[in-house]
Amino acid sequence: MTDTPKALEKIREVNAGFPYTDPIKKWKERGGKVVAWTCTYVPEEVIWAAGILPVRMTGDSHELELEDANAYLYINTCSFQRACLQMTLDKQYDFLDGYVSAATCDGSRRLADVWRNYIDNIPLVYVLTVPRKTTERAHQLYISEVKEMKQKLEEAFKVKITDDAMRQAIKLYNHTRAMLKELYEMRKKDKPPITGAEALEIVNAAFRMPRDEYNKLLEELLAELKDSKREVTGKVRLLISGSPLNNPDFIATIEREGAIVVTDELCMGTRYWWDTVDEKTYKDPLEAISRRYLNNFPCARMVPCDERFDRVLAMTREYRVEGMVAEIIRYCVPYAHDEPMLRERLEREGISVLELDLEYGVSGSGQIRTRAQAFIEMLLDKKGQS
Amino acid sequence: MIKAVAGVDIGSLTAKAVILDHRGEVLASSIIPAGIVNEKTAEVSLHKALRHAHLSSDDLAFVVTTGYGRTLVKFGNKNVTEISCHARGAHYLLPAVRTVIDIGGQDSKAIVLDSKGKVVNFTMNDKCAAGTGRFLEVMARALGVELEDLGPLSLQSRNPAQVSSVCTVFAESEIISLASKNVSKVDIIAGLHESIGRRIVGMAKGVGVRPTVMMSGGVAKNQGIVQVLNRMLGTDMVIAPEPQIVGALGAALFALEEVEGAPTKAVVTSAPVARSRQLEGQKQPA
Repeated sequence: MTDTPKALEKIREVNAGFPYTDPIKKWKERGGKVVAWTCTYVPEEVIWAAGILPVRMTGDSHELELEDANAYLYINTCSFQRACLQMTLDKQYDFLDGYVSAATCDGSRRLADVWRNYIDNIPLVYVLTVPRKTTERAHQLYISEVKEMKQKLEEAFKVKITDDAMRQAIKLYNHTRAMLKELYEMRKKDKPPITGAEALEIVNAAFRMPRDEYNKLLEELLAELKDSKREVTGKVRLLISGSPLNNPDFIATIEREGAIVVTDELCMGTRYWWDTVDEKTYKDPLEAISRRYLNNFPCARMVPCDERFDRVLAMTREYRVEGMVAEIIRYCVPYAHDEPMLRERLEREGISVLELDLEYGVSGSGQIRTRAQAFIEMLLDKKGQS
Repeated sequence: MIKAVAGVDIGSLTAKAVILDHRGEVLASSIIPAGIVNEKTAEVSLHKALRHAHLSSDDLAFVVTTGYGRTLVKFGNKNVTEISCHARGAHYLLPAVRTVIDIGGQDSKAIVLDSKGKVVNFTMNDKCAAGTGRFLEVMARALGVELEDLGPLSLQSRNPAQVSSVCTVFAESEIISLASKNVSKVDIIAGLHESIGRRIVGMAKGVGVRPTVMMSGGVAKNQGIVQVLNRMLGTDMVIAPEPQIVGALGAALFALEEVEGAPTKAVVTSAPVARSRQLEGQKQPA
């Protein structure tokens, strides 16, 4: 592997400032407002169209001590939500002006409840109701929820979100999606130009800076990668599946054992950017946005679960995946329950699955290393046989 | 022709070594108990086995390390996980084995293997001592019973106590309160074994237990646990002849596989100069 692309170095500089990154600081210094979101079912375009910077709230890239969060959120709330709350209570998110979440799982909803009831330091805490189905009735409900969210943003920040602004936001965000798609396409090669850990770093930056600036970085990165001879090798090609994962070290730990992660099915990966907003069919940009968010690469909380399984399976073929590592954050109920069914479907296709039951934020513990190494030994043995 | 290879299993509570000759025959083995297993105990274990085999470190063509300390030590030519090593060791001992249940000092695992001894599926306990050798050690101490006596004592029980907790810390206080209610030690121990059994069976069923099942690891020496597992799984497990060295045996088999093509020089010391001289002095068979 040759040198690190310059654009990746810039991305790392942005991430280094997490949570209050330099681009967010600059935005605030210019008097801009910042609204955090946690769940991929929160339509970012609507926030951006209000002239507000949407940032994604996450926990830190290491396991946090959650003693304060544990006082507010019941212990079987997933450690992702508790890590977010811990950082909030530690005043690390004091730069926020608002928080929008979705009642996609109970953890997601309860964090907002605690914020509203006990912290109460920002003008807007809003929770979207998100149906679990994608029927027309479900779409109509979700559209009305997004409309309400728009109205709440307008009221709280005394702004008007125009259709034009939403149309521009759609273009901007679709451009990101197209570029991330292009980046992931490069990972289909035998020797991709980036590691799985680097891909996560790149997507992480999307949550931590203004979108126009991020797009410029992505453009630079793609141009650099196209011209470079950078090649990453690994003995087996893996897909990482799971709920929230921000920690590139976790993927690096697996890759250090000799594998290469070529794609993912993560809340901070494909499931964030996969589908685009349809710019042609709908007159009302809010409807176009809403339909995209409900139809997007589904979270495990959606029904029927086959839609997600089909997409994962299609991805394993496209990216020639030999094994899947399932990252299950403890008490992430939707993922934990879907896992055996997904596993069964993958194993039927000859793809082995390693389940790692973890706390959010962990990286290279000995336990993970042993399991990853054993999994890779197993996959290599399997290849030797065939 | 190579003289010998070695496998060293650096576990959490003991270090184990196995020496094989070029045909794959076991020449010697050793088990070193240690509070904290480190480089030193791992080396002591290897050299103890070498002495039994009347060999010196110069006779080793390849050394594979395994176990939780496999990457912490600097000696050894290669490291392989304990998962693959247990599968390989069990297959060597009995090719019909399709499931290995290993309960060691600090972890327990269930491994499914194929007819060639290759791992098909596996699962391990998470960071928790429940259902491991360590759990039994803590309970034996709390009851004032020798670890080796747990098995025979539990077999006398007619009425195992109900021990509901799977947490080592809570289980300890639970058995103290049982003892204070005059529940006999025999029934408490039997109850503990039931509790461990349920945990292990839950884990093993997740990967799909198929016969023949072999049990390895130090806990396999506890007849009480073996009986409980047999009943719960509906199997008749084969107990490895020396259950603690199955991992080291597998490691030695991997070492042999490595040299079958091209023999190499084994790495048997961590500190190249000083330590190797020290080892020279130990060459004479003990």
